[in-house]
Amino acid sequence: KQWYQRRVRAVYREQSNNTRPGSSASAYCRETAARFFTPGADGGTLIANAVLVDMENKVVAGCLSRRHAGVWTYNPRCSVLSKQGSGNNWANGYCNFGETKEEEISVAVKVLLHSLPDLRVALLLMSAAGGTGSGLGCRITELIRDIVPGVLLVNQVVLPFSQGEVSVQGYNMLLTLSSLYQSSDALLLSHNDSYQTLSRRLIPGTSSRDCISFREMNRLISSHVAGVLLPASSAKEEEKKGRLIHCDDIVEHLVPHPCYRLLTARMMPVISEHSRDYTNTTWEMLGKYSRQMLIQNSIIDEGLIWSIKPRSELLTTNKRTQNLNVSVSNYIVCRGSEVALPEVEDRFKVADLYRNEKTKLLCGYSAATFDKLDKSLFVIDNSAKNGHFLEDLLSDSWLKFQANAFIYQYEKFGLDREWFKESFNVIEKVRRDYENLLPKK
Amino acid sequence: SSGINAEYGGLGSRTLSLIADNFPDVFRFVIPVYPSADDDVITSPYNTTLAMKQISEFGNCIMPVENQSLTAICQQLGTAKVDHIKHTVTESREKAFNKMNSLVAKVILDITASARFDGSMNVDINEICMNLVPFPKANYLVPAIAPLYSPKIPQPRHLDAIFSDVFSNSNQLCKVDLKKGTFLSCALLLRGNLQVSDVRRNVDRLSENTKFIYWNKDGWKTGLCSVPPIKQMYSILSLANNTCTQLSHKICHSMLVSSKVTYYLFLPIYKFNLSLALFRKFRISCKNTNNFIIQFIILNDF
Repeated sequence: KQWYQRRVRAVYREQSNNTRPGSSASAYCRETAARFFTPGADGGTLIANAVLVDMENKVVAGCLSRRHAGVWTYNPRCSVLSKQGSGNNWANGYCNFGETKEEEISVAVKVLLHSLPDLRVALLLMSAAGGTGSGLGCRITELIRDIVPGVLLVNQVVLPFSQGEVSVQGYNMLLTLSSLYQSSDALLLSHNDSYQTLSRRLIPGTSSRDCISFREMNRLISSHVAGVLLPASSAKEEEKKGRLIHCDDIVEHLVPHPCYRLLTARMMPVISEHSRDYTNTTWEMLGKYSRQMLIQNSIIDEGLIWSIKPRSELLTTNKRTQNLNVSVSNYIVCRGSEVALPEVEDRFKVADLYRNEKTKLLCGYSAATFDKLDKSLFVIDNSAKNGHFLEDLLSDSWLKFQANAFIYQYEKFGLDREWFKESFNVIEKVRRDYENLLPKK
Repeated sequence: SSGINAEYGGLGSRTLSLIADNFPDVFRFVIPVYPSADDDVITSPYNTTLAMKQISEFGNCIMPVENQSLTAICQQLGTAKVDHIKHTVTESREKAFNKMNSLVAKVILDITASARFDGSMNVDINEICMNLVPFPKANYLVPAIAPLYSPKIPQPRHLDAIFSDVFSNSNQLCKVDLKKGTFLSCALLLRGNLQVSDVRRNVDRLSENTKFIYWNKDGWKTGLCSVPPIKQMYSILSLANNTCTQLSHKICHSMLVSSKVTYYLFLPIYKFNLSLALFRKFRISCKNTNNFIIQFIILNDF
């Protein structure tokens, strides 16, 4: 259920961020509303362009009943519920529910698509460790691919705590990632470990013993996703009517090559509402910290090792440059007042940070503030270190697979060892591709 | 879905096989209650063995509970009156069994709490089976509860103490020594106003002292239900899939072996309703326990 809550909350937050217009942001609001909502029959309320699916009914029922300050709601016709739950079994979600619920889900999706003739990108929010999110989520991705082949699919996948929430999470993650690599265009990964550490920022005066709930983590994940997908233009000043960057532009820029589809989103600053009055941010600082976070593949601006820099900025050659993160491509968005764009852009335009000279950096700007933050910077990257976690995933799962542990649970629903072996192969290839992006030592 | 069987019931075993035949997709949770060593029913070892075979065959998840442990826990809680000279329970049998049964009832309540109440990390019953049973035959999960509630015992003030308690041998509902065995997996079903970080902290701490099998080093399954049991702030139910359960089977097995001579004397009683086939089953049951023990010995060596 918590997986589901995440899914839904992300969409909710994202869309609720849109309903906070700045003073000169009517065009921004209109664009946001057009992007994520459809006007309701009564003309007043907006209806979210979303389909909610879960095999347990509590969370979705809760979402459908919320009114969201009278501004927007979910469409009850675009929801698919059940009461059974998938029991953390990927095969149950994919094979069993995939088959039994296929009809219902395609009907719900088609109802939504009816009101979206110009759909270019579909975002799927799911978890990788559970049964419904992972298994059924993969099946739905394939379904949407069949129904609307021209649409780009982006899956936002939540990866579980590495310490283990679910015994079979390794298998579920493996099967999810390998299935999505074949049917989806881009995978935006969110690691629970990182988000839990980052969430501590949102609670003032935290110590390591303080309680972080999924609510704070969900809020952060949705901020990251929303910040990237909300409208931005590629012009330097608002007056010069710049070209609006559409979601498909973003996806096409970030995934130029089918072998590299893993993305990470980062954001600066992450501060609690209390601390906002006391913090003064500058674009220079935001740019500097965001880039270092990218270099170290961190989503937190703490514990950064500043001595790891691109070679062009070093006075002497240092062995540490070998640890630099290399990207296939990056997309940055600056939101807020007095955007000093060349500074930020130049910081990210360093050649050492990219693999290929051509596909480098896309910059977006928006004068509208995000979540009442005076200045905020979002980075979404397709970089080499995104594939690091795959190594541990593969080794842990392989141990289990060789011991034949838990396999009978998947075999009950029609998966066999061959399917698993294929998934291992796919993920091993992804891991190697990403490792090869890094310069050889 | 769950079925609860009080052993040493022939009726329980039959019900179980009926459910298995008619509803094959339904998960069957069995809570067999093993008799204590000084049980006054003489045929209890045979009944137990025969029942065990049925349970092993038809049950998906088996949570063995021993009367001995229940008695010990009730004594600990100060609710059972024990005659110190004779070391027997002097309270009326009915009252004593009521208290012991309430412990078993608590296990069931904790397992189903996720289905009945809200929680940030609710664990469905079918998830328990999925995560804790790596092989179809390794389905014995030792239940333990903490804190042991009684008006006479002060509740632990610190949440972390409850986590430590649930792994102590005196809280297990079956006579096992968890430290001697290897964990294949372990579920912690928590109830109360706990947060994810509390759980993480304690699981990290407990992981240091528990031996998990090499391919499932992070084999914890945690569930958080926000509603605690009545009159308590927090409660934990742990279901441990640990190789030490082979030891309790050994005891059962040895009980049988020692009484091998006498089983022939009871032939007339059994002959009344059973056929020879059932006696063969009895033999097979003995073999089964032996096989089970061997399997777990192999796993323990890791």
